[in-house]
Amino acid sequence: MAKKKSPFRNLQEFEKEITDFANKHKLEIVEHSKKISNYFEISSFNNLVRYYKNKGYSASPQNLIGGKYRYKCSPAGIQSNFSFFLISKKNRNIDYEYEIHHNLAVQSSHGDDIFTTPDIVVIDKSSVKYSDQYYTTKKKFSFVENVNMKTFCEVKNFNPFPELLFNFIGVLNELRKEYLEGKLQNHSPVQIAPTLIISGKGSKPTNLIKEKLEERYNVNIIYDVFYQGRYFFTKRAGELKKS
Amino acid sequence: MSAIINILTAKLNYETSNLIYNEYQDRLKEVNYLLDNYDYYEDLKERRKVIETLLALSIFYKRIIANFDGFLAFTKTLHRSQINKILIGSKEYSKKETARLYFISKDFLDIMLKFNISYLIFDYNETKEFLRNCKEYRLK
Repeated sequence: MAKKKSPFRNLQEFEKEITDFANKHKLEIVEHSKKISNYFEISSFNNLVRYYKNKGYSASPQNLIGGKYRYKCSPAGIQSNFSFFLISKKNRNIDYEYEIHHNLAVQSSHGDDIFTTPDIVVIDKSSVKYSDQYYTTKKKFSFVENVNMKTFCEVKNFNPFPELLFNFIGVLNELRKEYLEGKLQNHSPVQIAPTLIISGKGSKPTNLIKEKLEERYNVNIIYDVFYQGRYFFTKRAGELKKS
Repeated sequence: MSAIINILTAKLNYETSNLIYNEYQDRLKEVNYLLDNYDYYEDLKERRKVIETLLALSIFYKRIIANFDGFLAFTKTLHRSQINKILIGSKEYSKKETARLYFISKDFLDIMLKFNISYLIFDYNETKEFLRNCKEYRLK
């Protein structure tokens, strides 16, 4: 029986295959590599949709623009010009409906007039508001009132490092001050707890910080989302904290 | 032949190629240190060229292909709702455009399959874990 091919046995052939692959797709890889951070954010958004589907919600894309799903990649822009997902679930004979948005500003839990924009946010259905008072230029501003925000996710295409993790707690404090005060809200039906999704794997120090922060606050910190981390949105979804 | 890392990163935008190239150089230094100083990796010492190639491929996968796959998973979610076009900024992704992305990912997977490489070999944080994965893979 012929031996299985391996780079250790067939290095020249292996390198030739990689070179052929690189040459064949060079132009497209170069073009798409400019959008890598968008692809990462979109893939995390998709993971969140999968999480809710796993929790018994139905999910459907809404607000298509000319039949196309228009993804909002930055805080700029008016929310009504972009698409989102509607998720719904029946619980004890009551229909619950929420929307999952990308890059929508959320009102602070400390004050009505300041806002921050998490990467992904779950809100009550039809609760996006608009104001022309926020900017001095009277430009239209889209936001959701804090009371209508159910949960949020931050996604980072980095390796974890301490400041990145502690910054997330800063956002949590701004958007969910009750979490830091130990006064948890009980949502019905349950929502995923505020979650930080990171592409890289943890090291000993950042694993320890993750453990301590998850112990202290009702949050999820997911590392290594392309490998082990992705299972938290499917078969290990039950292990994630809820709010 | 030019080092595989140069072939894989040629003409990528500065930010991405720098990210890949710097990680590769940092890890390569660690690889050389570990191979030179630990008997545990004795059997890999003479195969540095293979290790270098696998290292380059693993970083390219993590920084590029895995993100393509994540985006493609989202397009599948939309296709299930009969939506075949996505707009990201000013760029429109038709079914044809996403198919091109799919074939990049598929051709990469085909190389992995042809050479019996599991993606698990790329599942590492510390460089010593990568070497351990290479060692186990070689023994299989």
